[in-house]
Amino acid sequence: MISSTDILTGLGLFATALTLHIIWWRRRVPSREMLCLCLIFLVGPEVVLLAAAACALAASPPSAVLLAFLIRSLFLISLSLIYIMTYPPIQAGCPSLKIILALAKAKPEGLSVREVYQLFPEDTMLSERFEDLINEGLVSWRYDSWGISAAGRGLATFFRLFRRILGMPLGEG
Amino acid sequence: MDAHCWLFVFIAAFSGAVPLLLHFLISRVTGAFRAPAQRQKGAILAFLAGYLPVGGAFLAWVLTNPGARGNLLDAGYLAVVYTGFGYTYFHLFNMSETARRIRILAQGDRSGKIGLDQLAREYTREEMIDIRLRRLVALGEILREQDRVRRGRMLLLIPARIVFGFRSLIFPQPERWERNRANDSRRGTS
Repeated sequence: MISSTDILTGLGLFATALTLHIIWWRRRVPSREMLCLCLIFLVGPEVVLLAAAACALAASPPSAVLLAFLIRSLFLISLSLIYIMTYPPIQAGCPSLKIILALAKAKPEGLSVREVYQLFPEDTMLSERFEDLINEGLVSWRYDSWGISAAGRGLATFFRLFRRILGMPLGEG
Repeated sequence: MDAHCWLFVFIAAFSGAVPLLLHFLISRVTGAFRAPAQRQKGAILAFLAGYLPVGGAFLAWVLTNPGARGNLLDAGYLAVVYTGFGYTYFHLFNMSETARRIRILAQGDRSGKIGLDQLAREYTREEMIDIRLRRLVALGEILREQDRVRRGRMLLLIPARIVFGFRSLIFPQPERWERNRANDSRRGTS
């Protein structure tokens, strides 16, 4: 049922997207990072798969073409989502993972809590994440204060509903 | 045969909902893993437990269609697709639990505006780090003895190396990137 062509197509498109992303980001990081990531990893490759499916329609029945398209799309989407979801800790330099790395480098007796605090500059832990929200268009300046945009409100609502389904309040951050 | 193929695609696509369903059952029905320090464990359990129903569905798919043969490529494909969706679910949950950005958005959504000074007073560097230390202790990753922390299981060491390895590959000059980003955000406000 699944052919090696299905797997290789997905892997090839994912590898191409990853290469493009690395080259682009090393030249200049775009201001709307998540939007650009979705374009590179989801929209672009899906357009390629759609174009290939349209070409295949001349030679194969539509149901077979649609099936092959869905099989390749699902594989590609799952690979791309793995990277897209890993990107926020890569970009933000996840503090928990930074603590783990610092402990791995430390002597066996570990670190004092004060030394752990000093791994992180006091003034940037919150402000950099706030800048991310501005750049992503989730937060904006209105009259005399910062407020969240419609997209930001949508995201906040999504997470609130998600946590409600699980019966939990939002996390501590 | 055609219906058989469509059923396989349905199993693969539906596998994306399995971690949420299992997490719902674990959290809502059994009431387990709802304490703040235990929540990530619940999400990991839901992700890992999902291999059972997805594997079971695959086995049923193979056994109920004697004409078709489920080969290793089919199993491997389904394993990759489920792993991708399960991993995505775990990270989505993690974002709702640990992300500073989501906490800022939630505060803005509640109060209608974001008071940065107030946020900085309520959410200090020390508090952010203490929360993370508590979570790492609960996961058994580190050990805490009064004012010292030591290595625990350190299962997150490999993911940490991968994440920070990618970080230095993608952002070879972090200072330049931070400056550009700050400029971008200022332009957004002017």
